[in-house]
Parts: sequence; C-alpha cells; structure tokens
Amino acid sequence: MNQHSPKSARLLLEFILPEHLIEPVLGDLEEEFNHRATSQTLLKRQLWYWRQALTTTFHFISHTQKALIMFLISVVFFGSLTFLAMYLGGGVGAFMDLPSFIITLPPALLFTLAVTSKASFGQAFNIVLSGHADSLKQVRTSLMVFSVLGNTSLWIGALMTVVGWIAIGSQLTDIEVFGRAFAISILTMFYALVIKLICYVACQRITYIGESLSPAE
Amino acid sequence: MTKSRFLGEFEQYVILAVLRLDQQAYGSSIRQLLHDVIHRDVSIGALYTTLSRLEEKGLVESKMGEATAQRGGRAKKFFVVTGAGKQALQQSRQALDAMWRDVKLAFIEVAR
Repeated sequence: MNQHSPKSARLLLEFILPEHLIEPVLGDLEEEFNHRATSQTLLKRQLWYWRQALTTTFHFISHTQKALIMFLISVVFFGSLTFLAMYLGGGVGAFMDLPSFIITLPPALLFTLAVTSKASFGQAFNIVLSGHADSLKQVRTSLMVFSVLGNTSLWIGALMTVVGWIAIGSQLTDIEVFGRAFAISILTMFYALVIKLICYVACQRITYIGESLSPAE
Repeated sequence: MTKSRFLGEFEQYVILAVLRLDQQAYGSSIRQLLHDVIHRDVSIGALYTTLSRLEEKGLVESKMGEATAQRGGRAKKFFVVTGAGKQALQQSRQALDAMWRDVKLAFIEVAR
C-alpha cells in the first residue's frame, strides 16, 4: 500500500523553507517517514511528520517570511485600532451593515476581474503573501489589480453614499429616522475607505518587492 | 593572527557528526547519529538551521547528491567539514579541556 506523508505539511514546508533547502529537507523527512513504516502506524508517522513540519516552520519563518509577518501584523494592528475606534464611537454594531458591504466589495471585485484577469488577480495576492515576484511585468500587473480594486471601491462607495443621500432627501418625512438613515448611507464610503487602505498597503508592498528586480527581468 | 571562534555545544555535536559520517553526512544520517550516540532527538528544522549557519560561517560545505525513490524523488544534501571548521572545533575542544581541568581539581577538593 502506498502511504504518503501529509500533503498539507509538505506544502507548508515548501512555503516556509528557503528555496535551496526544500529539496533536502522534504527528502529527509520522506526518507524517515518511510523508514518508520516498519515500526509505527500511519497515524503516528503522520503526527511525527507534522511535529517536524511545525518545528521547522518555527525555526525558519522569521528568516524567510519576515516581510509577510510584518505585513500581517500591520493589518492586524490596523484592524484592532479600527475596531477600538468603532467600539469607542458608540458600539461596533453601528458600523455593521451587510447590504452596504455587499454593494461595495463584490462589485469592486467583479470590476477588477473584468479589467484585469483571474490569473492576474490570484498572482497579485500571491505576491503580497509570498513576498516574491519573478518579473517586473508581474509587479506592474499586480499593482494594477490593487489599484483598480482600491479605486473602484472608493468610487462605488462614494456613489452609493450619494444615492443614499438622494433617497433620504426625497423620502424624508420623519426627522427622527434621519440620523439612522444618514449613518447607513455613509457606511458604504466607510467600507470603501477600508478596502482602499488595504489596497494601498498591498501596492506599497508590491512596489518594494519590485525594487529588488532589475529592469531586464 | 587568526580570529578565534568558539562553537556552541550543538554546533560542536553537528560538526562531529559530519566528521564521523565522512562522505555520508546528510540530514537524516546526522539526525540518526545524534540520536544513537547522545540520545538527542533533534528536529530537522533545528538541524538545518545550524547547518545553514555553519555553512554561512564557512565551517561546513555542502553539495547535492542523488535523488532516490525512497525520498520521494528528492536529492540529498551532503555536508563536509572545511579546514576552518576543523580548526574551530579544535579551538573549542582546547578551551573546554582547559576549563574542565580546573573544574576537575575543584571537584576533587570538594569531594574530600
């Protein structure tokens, strides 16, 4: 029976390890994984493999994925600050409105996919997360993806806010509901600004990654 | 005057393992030897971190070997100790020996 080492653990190692160590480390683990077949059950061997993968991740992640860690920390930090501001500003619930979110992000994503391509879209996120680009062409395409996504979100958010104001103005009969209606109309702009900010950070990261590439690439 | 460099405990173990394994020192064989001789179950990540550091310092060298089916078609990375590595190991041993001499005398006096 052909028993394989856990694929997800192998993928994790391929993501974490430096390029020159992927071949020998995965080979060594595979060799020991097979060697243990004579004395251990498959479950035990898979647990052993996962333990090795996780300890190896712990050893190498700060070397190979430092930029990703900093990027994720900055996103979490930004998210936490926004959450705190929302909490202090009268409760998080006031900032949550699913319809406003639905009319902001999905149209922006669809427009971006239409303007660029599915492959470019995936590649852009991959460059941000992996911190690696093969060519300046990839860098330019990825910058365009985030630029289109951020700007489209902003325009849609602004447009929907104006639509909300027109609707409020034309149908306002009870001044007591004005506050709530106005707040909801502004939410699309709020979501758009959040998306634009994330896209801005992504663009800066891609630009930085692109600076290490020579013009010939 | 050459700059002296002392090795950490685990670095010494790894260099000694590479020397003992001669031309057959690669990740799994080094791990196995460390387990058999000093009963230390070293993770593959810790071992390669140390080997990479030693290689950066010029104390070991590596070359890729053959790929085998048993390894999922992946090649081995063989390590050998350089002259600088042997020298660093010797210096660390001399330093440790010198320190141990004093500790041994003190221990005997305490025992009396």
